[in-house]
Amino acid sequence: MNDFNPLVSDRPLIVYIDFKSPYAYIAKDPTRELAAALSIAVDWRPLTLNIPSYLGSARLDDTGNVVESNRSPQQWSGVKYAYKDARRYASLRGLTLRGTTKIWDTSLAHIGFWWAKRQGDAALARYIDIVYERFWKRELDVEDPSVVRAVLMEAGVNVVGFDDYRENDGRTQHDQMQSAIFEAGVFGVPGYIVEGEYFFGREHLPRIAWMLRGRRGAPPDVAYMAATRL
Amino acid sequence: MPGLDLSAPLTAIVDFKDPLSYLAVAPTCALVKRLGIVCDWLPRVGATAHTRPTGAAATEDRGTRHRRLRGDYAMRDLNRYGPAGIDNPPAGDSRLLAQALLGVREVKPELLTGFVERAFDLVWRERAVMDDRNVIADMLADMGLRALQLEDADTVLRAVEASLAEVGVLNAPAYVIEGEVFMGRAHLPMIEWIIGGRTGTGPI
Repeated sequence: MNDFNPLVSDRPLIVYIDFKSPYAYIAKDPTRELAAALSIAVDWRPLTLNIPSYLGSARLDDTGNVVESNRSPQQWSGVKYAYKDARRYASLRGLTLRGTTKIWDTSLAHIGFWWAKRQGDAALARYIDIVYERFWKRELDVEDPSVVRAVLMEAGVNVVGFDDYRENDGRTQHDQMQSAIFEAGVFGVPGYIVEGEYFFGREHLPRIAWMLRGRRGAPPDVAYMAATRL
Repeated sequence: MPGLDLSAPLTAIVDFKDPLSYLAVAPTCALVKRLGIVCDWLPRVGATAHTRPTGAAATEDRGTRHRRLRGDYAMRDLNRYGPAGIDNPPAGDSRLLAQALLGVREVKPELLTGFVERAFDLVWRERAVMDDRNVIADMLADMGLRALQLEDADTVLRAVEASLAEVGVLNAPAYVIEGEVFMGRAHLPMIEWIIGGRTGTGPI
């Protein structure tokens, strides 16, 4: 934690994601495609969103009826639009985004993220893929330690010591890093850090690609655009 | 949605005082021209999406701090993509211009895109006061619309506002295509892809 800087990395691009964000999910593959096209390594990091603090909270029953809510009508409209918007893009990639019944606490899955990351990019990529796909199919309880442990193992990650890590150092570091990330001004995902600048949303990928290519030509505008066209 | 025709190939919703709407006009017009389609325009006059909380930063809770960070970020984003002065909204209220837009839409729809471009230019580049009746009258006169009547325009505008809220338009700029709402100019590649027949790789 001592050398953790939310805006600095030895890699040219930092990407913040949260497993409970549909927008971060649909940004994952285009971001990877961009990194591959530019031959750069990405510093992936988890950001555990505190959704109730800015979008209110709500809980639905199994049939989709609201059983608990402190959201304003505007917040509900915003949430509904966001899901609809993410789904129409997800469908173009064959991704499933099922509705959720509550705001999940993804901190444990993010502690697993850091654990996997210590074992290399390939292990982390496998872990991210499994968690995202199953979580959004509602097949994964990311708040259950045994489930997260099992996914780590499935991703080929050595889990010896993970149980102690998630309860002690991993939890402490996660909480400290989340505070540091928020205080640095990084509030949403997918979040991109390039040259110390924060970009919120995958619509900035054209500008990010332009920066990483050396700022040649006119700077592009925001756009949800296929990576093949960036 | 009763009373509001959204059957055009593309409907664009803008707010004349909103910087994001201003940034969307040129790429939207370019897309319309490229595709050779008709674009309908509607006004929105609600709060802008980049409102920043006021007050003492030292005493704020997490939610207020979050909104402040978002507001600060939105300003940086505007400066990143917009011309100088984009973070300094023009003076006045946008209701009168919104009413004028609806008037043009009613009597001379073929002039609507030109009206929108000219109005944004007037308030954002030339820094005209946007609720100055004389400024608006001069602009309409320049377009050959000296006789445009705006007596019932506020009633019409309120009905449009209600209809847009009902259909789910929460911010400007927004687009309606095939009954679906898209908020933000970043969706223009998706809109172009849909109007173009959904061929080839879709956007992300």
